Amino acid sequence: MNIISKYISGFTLAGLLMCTACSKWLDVKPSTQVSETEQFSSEQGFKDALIGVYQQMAQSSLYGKELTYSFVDILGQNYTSTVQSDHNEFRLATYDYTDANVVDRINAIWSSGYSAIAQVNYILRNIDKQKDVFSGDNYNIIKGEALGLRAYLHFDLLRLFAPAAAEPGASAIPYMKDFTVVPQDRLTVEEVIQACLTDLQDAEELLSAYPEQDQITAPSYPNGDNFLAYRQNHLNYWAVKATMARVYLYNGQGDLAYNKAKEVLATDYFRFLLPSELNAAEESVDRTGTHEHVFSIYVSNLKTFTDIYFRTPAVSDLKSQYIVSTQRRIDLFETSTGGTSSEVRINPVLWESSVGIVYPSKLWQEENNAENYKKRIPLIKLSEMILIAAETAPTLEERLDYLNEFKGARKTKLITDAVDDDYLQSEVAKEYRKDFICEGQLFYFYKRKQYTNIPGAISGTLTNAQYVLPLPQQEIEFGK
Amino acid sequence: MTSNAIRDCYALHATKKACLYNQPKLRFIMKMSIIFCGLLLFGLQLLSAKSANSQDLHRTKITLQLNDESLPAAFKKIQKATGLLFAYPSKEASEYQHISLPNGTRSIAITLDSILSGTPFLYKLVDNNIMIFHRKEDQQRGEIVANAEAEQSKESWIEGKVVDAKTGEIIVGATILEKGAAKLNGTTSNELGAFKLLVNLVNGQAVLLVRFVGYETKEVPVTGAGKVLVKLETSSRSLNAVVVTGLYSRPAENFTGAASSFTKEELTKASGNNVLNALRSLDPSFQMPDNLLNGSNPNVQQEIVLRGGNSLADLGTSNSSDVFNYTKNPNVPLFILDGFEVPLQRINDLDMNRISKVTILKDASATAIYGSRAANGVIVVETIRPREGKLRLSYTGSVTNEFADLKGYDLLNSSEKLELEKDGGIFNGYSVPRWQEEKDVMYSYRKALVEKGNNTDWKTKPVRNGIGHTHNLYLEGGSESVLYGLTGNYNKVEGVMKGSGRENITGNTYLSYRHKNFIFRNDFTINFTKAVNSPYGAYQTYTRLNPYWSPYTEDGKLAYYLEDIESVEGRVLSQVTNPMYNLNFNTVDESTIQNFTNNFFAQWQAKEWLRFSGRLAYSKTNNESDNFKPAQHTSFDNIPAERYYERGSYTKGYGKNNMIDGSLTIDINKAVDKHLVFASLGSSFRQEKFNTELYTLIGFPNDKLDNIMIGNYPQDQSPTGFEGITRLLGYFANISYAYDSRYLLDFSYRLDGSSQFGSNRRFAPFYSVGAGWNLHKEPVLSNWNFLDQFKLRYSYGVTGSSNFSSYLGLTTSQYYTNQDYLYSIGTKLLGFGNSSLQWQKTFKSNFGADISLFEKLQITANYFVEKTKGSVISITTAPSTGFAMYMDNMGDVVSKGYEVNARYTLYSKPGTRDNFSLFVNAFHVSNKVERISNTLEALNEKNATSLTTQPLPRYAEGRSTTAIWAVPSLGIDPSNGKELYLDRDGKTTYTYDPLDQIIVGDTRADLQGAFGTNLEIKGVGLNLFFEFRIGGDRYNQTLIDMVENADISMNVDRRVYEDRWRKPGDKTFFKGIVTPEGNTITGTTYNTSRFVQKDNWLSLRNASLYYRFPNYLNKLLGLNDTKITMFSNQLFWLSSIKQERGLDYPFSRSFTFQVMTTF
Repeated sequence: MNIISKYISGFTLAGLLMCTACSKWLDVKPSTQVSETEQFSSEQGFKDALIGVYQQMAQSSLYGKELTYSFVDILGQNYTSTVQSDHNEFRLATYDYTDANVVDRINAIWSSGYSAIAQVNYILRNIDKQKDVFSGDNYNIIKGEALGLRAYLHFDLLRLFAPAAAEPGASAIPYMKDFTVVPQDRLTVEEVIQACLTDLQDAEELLSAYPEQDQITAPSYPNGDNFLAYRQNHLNYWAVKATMARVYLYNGQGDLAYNKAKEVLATDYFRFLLPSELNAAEESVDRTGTHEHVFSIYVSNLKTFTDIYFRTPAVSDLKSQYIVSTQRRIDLFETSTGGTSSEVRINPVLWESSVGIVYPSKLWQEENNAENYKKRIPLIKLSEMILIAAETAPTLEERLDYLNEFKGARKTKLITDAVDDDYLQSEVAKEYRKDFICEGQLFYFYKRKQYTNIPGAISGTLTNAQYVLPLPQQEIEFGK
Repeated sequence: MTSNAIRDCYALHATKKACLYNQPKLRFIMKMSIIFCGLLLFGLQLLSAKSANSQDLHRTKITLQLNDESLPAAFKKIQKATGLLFAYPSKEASEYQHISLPNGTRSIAITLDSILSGTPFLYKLVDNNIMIFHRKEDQQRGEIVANAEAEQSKESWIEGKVVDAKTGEIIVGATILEKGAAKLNGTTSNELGAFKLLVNLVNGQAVLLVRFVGYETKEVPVTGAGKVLVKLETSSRSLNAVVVTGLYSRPAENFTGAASSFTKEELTKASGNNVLNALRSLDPSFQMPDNLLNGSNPNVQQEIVLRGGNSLADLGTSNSSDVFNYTKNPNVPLFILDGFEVPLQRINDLDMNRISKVTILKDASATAIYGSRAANGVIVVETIRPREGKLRLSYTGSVTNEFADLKGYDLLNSSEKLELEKDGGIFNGYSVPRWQEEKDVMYSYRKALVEKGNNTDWKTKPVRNGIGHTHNLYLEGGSESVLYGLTGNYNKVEGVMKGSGRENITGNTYLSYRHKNFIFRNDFTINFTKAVNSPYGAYQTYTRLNPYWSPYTEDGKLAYYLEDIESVEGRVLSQVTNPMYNLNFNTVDESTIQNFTNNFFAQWQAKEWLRFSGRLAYSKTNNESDNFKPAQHTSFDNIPAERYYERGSYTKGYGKNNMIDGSLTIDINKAVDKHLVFASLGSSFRQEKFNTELYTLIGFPNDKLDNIMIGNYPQDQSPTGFEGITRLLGYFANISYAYDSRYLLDFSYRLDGSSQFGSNRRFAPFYSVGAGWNLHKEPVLSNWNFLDQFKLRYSYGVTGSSNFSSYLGLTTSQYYTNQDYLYSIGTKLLGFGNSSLQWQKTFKSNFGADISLFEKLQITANYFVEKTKGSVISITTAPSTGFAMYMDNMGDVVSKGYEVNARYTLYSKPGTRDNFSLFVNAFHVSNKVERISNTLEALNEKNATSLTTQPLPRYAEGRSTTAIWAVPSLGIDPSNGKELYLDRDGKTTYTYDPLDQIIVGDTRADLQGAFGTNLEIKGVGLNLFFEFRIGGDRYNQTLIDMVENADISMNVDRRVYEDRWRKPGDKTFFKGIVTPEGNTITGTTYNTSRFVQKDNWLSLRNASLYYRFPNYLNKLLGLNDTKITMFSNQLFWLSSIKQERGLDYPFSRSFTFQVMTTF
C-alpha cells in the first residue's frame, strides 16, 4: 500500500513540475505581430515603437496633412480658394462642424492623436522596467522624446478641442497618462496645460543628456543605426524647449515663454534661411528652410498629397486645390505698397503661378531635389521663437529689435519709426500670416489672440463655436 | 540527451521550451523517470508474489501495540503492517472502541484472535483480504455446513478469469460470489482479470455468480477442475450501462449527469451515411438548423448547437463555408474523438461504420471535466476496437441516390412571365416617343421568343441525380495479447448540383498490445478529402433567369449572351450573359484536406482498484484550395477589352493546422461494503497551431493552362491569411460516490490554463456537483415490481467557453511596411490586449429523471437552466483612450428548457432480436438576454434606424436572442394597394419608420423533436424517424424578396403574377404591382410583421428498411452477419410556410442501398 501511495505522490510531483513551467508555456507569440514582452525586450524594440509614434504623426489625419497644410490651415484661412462655395473644403472653411465629411475628419484627428498618445504610453509603461536593455544615452533620449511627444500631442488636441487659455476653468480634454482602455476624466484647460508642462519639464531634463543636432545632414553611422541622425525630425532637446515656449505663450505666461525662446535662439544649431538657398539649383533648393526647423515631421508619401493640393492637375479640378489668389498675395506681402521685392518668402520657388492661379509651393516635392530637403513639414521653426521673443521680451526696444532681426532675415521692410506696442503686435501678426503658410500655426495664433474677425473668413465673427472643435460623438457617449 | 528523453520530457513537462533551455530540470525529470521505473518493477514483484493463505496467517508475525483504540483503527494498523485488506461492517465494528493489546510480536492469527475476543466477530481470509463477519452468521453457516458435509461437501480452490464476451478484453474488478453460500464468500477479479476463490463443492459442484457494471450477471457452474474462463455479455437491457466522458467512464446507474449515449446499432437505424444526421433524429437537443442558403451542399459545414447554444455572439459573425476558417462558431459544441478534441469537419467526414458509440454530455456534472471548453456541451465519439479471434473481414458498401428537392420553387413559365412584364408596365408609359419605340423593340423581341416556343425550365438546368457510393473494409483479429484492426474506407458523395461532390478516403490501423497488466494501443488514421464545387455557381443565378431565354444559340452551342437587344440606332437595350456559357471551358473550384492523426495510449493496471493511463495524440492537417477562371469567363465581362490581359483569375489558398494533445490520468475505484467510490485525477495539455495563406493572380488567357504560375500579380494587392496558436493546460479531478447504489454523489473540478486568456487570468477553475437518488433501490419500493428504474438527479456547476481567436489577450504591434521614417521602420499598435480577458462562464443546473416501468416504458427527462455570464464580445470605448474598442467579458444570457425522451416497447421476444417499439422525443428552450455591452447597444441603435428588407438582429435586455423585430403591419389597403402600418403611438400610417419596430415573433420553436418506430420481426426491420416543429416564427424572405419587392425584369415567384394587388377592391396579401393610375409601383417594402409566419413543419427525416440474413442463408453463402438496408433521407416535408429553400444550393432527398457482411 505504501508503494502505491508513492506512485501517486510521484504522479502528483510530475503534475506539479508541469505547473511550474506552464505559465510560461501559455504565453504564445504571434508570428506576424510583435507582442508587448517581445518588443520591449530590446532597445531596438523601444526605438521601433518610438519611430512608430512619429510615423503615426506623419499620417494624413495628423501632421502629414490635417494639422499642417490642410484642416488647420483652412480654418486659419490661409487659402482663398477654400471659401468658394463649390470648393470641396467649403464646409470646413466656413466652420460647419456638422457636415458629415468634416465630422469624420474631426473624429479622425481626435482618434489618431490619442492613438499616437496610446503608443507613447505603451513605451512609457515598459521603459522603466527595462532600463537595463539601453546603451549610451538612449534611455534618456527615448523616454525624454516619449514624454515630450505626449505633451506635444495633447497640447495640439487642446488647442483644437478646448477653448483658449483665456478660459482656464473650461472643460477641455482628457490627459492620458496611462496605457488603458478606461476612459479618463476631462480636465480643465488649465489642468491640461499644467500636465503638458510637467511632461515637458521631465522631457527637458532627460533630453539634456543629448543636446547635439546634426542639422538635417546625414552623418554616417558605421553600424547602420541612424537613431541619432536627423535630430530635428525627432522631438529633440531644443524642440522640447521650443514647445515649452509655445505652451507658456499660449497660457499667457510671456516671461517664461521669452526665457525658453531665448534659450533656443541662443544656440548655434539653428539659423534662418538664406535667400541663396532658394535661388540655388533644384538639387539644393531648401524650400522649407531646414536650418530653421527646430522640429519637423518626416512624411514619406508627402509627394502624393502635395501633388493633389498644390499643383495643376492633368484635368483641371480646382475644387480640391489649395490656392492663394494673386490679390491676397499682394495684400499679404504688401508688394503694391512698398514691400521689398527681395522678401525671401515671395521667392518664385515658394509660389507656383500657373494660368493665373497661385499655389503655395513650399511643400513641393521635386524628384531631383536633395533628400535632406524633402519630405519634411516644419512643426516648430526658429521664426516662431523669434516672434515669441518679439511678442514677450520685457521692453518695447527689445521686442522691436527681435522683430527687426527677423524682418532682416526675411529681407523685408524693417520698422524704423518709433512705434507703440499695438503696432508692433500687429506687425507680429502679419509675420505669422506670412511665415506659417502650410504649417498649421496661424489658426492657433488667432485663437490665442481671440480674434473675432480673421482675414479671409467669410462667415462673420468667430467665437468658441468656431474656435472649439466638437468632441467626437463616441467620446461624448463613452468618455467621461 | 536521447530523443526518447526529449519526447518523454515533452509529454511530462508539456513544454518543449523548458526541455531545451532548462537542462537541470530535464536531468531531474530523467532521474524521476528512473525512480518511477524502479518503483514500477518493485510493484510488479509485489504483484507476482504469492497471495497469503491461512497458513501464512499463522506464520507471518507482526509487532503491534494497541492502546484503547477502536476496532476499525486496529484493523487499519494491521493492514498497514501486513498489506492485508480488511472488509468489515463498519457501523457495527466502530461500536467497539476500547481495544488494547500489549506491545509484542505475534502471528497475524493470534493478533486477530486477541483483538476480536471481546467482540461478536470472526474472521476469514479470502484471497488476499480478511473478511470480518458476525458470529451469528457463522453459527448459521455452521449449521448449514454441517448439513452440507453430510452431502459429501468438500472445499476447493477455484481459479479463473473474467473477460468481455465480445471483445475478449479482461474485466478488472468484477465481483465473484459463491452462490448459495450461507456466509458472504467472494472476491474480485484482479488487475489481470484473474480470481481465486475457495468454495464448497456440493456433490462436486458449486455455482459462481459473476457480476460487473454494464454486464449481465452470469452464473457459472464449477467443478474445481481446471481454470474457468468467464465471459460476460454486455447488459442488453441497458446497452449503454457505461457513460464515457472521454476522460473516464462511470457506470450509468451511478452517474448524476445528463448524458445520452447511442450505440452504432442505434445510429445506423437512423442514418446510413452521416452520424450528425443520425444524432439529430435521436436526441432532440442536438440541433442542426437548416441552412436556407446552402441547402444540401456537401461541402458546406452544417451548424450545430446543443440545447440552443449559450454564447452571445458578436452580431455579424456568421458561420462561414470557408475551409480555412479555423476559428470556431461561438456556439459549437466540443467534439471529442477517441479522447481528443477534433473539429466538427472530422466528425462530419467520419465513416459511420467506424463508430462504436456516441455520447452527448449536456449538463455541468457531465461536462465540467472539460472546463473551459464545455459550455456548449460535449459530444464524445468512440471508434470501434478490434475483437479477439481469428482473422475477420467485414465489408459495408452502399449506393446513395440524391434528388434535388425543388419544392418551394414556383416560378412562371415564359408566356406568364411576359404577360407579367407587360402588366407590370415594363414596356409602356414613356412620354418620349423614342423611348417608347425602344421598349416596343424589346417587347416584340421577347414576344417572338415566347411565340417560338422558348420555355426554359432554368431551375432544373444545374441539378442532377447524384449517385454516390461508400465502401468500407474492416479487417480485425488477434489474440489476448495482440489485437489488430485495419480499416479502409472510400466515400464519394455526388451533390445534386452538377459537378459538385465530395470524395473521402480514410485508412486506419489499430494495434493493441497487452503484457500482463500493461496495455499499449496505437491508432493511426490518414484521411484525404477532396471537395469540388459546381461550375454552375450559385443556384439562384438560374432561378432568376427568364424562361423565354434559351441557353443555346440556333446552332445548338452555348450562347454568350442570353439576350442582346439593340435599338434601331444600334444602342444596346439589354445585354444578359449566360452563366452556362462558362461550361464551355475548364474552370476549377475545389479544395482538398489531408489529415493524419496518431493516437497513442498506454495503461497500467497497478491494482484492481488503481489504474494509470496516458495518452498522446498528434494530428496534422493540410488544406489547399484552387479557384480558377479563364479569361473567357462571363464574370470578366466588365473588364474592358483593351485590358484583356487582366481577365482570368486564379485564387490559391493553403492552410496548415497542427495539434498535439496529451493527458495523464489516475483512476481509482473501490467498493467497500455498500460504499462504491470512483475517482479520476489527471492533467492534460493541448496545443493547436494554424496558419493560412490566400493569394490571387490575374491574367489567364487559356482555360487549358490552369497553372497559377502563368498569372501576374494584381496591383496593390498582397496575400491575406491568418495564423494562430492556442495552448491549453488542464488539471482535473472527479469523485463519484455511491452508497448502496441508492444515494449518489458526484464532484468534478478542473483548473484550466489557456493562452487565450489574458495574462492576469491565466488559470480558470471550473467545477460541478451532482447528486442522484435511485428510488427503485429503496427497500420501501422494492415490492413495486413494475418499477424497474426510477432515478432522480440534480447537478449544478460552472463551465466555460473559449471559442474566440488566439491573441485577444495580447497587446501586439505590427510594422509599417509601406512607408518609412528617416530610413527606419516603426511599429504600430494593433489593438488593446485585454490582460484581464477571461473565459465565458456558464452556470448550469439540471434536474433530471430516468424512469423505466414494466420493462416496457422508458422515460428520460431533463429540465435545465443555463446562465451564461461574460460572453467575450467587443466593447466600444472613448477614442481618447487611443482605441475604438477592445474585447471584454460582457453580455449575460439565461436559457431555460426541457427535453424528454420516451420509448415504449410494444413487443419484444427474449433471445431473439424481434421487437417493436415506439419513441418520441421533444425539446424546448427559451432564452433571454440579461445584460448587454455598450457596443451591442450602439449596434441596436443603428439597426433600429436602418431601412432593410430583412429583420436585423437586436439584443435587448429582457428579450430573447432570437426575437424578430419588425414594424407591425395592418396589411394592404384594398383601395390603393398600399401597406398600412401601426406606429409607436398606436396610430395607423402609410409611412414606414424603422423606429416603430417591435418584437413580432421569435424564431425559436415552442417544441421541436422527433418521433417514430423501430420494428424488427424475423430479421426484417423498419425504422421511421419523423421530425416535427411546433410554434415559433420565421420571417419569410421569399415573400418579401421574390414576391413583394420582386424585380419583375427577372423571373419571379408565381405569387407575383397571381396574388398582388391590381385594382381597387382587391383584397390581397401583397402590395400592388401598379398604382391605381397604372404606373409601376417602385419603392421597396421594408421589413414588416406581414412577412412573419408561423413555422410549423413535419418531415420524415430518416427511414430505413432492412433484412438480416438468417443463419442458414449466411452459412449457405459462407458469410456472417449479413444485412441489407434501404435508407431514405427527407422522404417528405410538410410546412406551414411556402418558401424558396436552398438559394445557393438546393436541398436534396436521398435513397441509400446498403449491404453489410462479414467473411
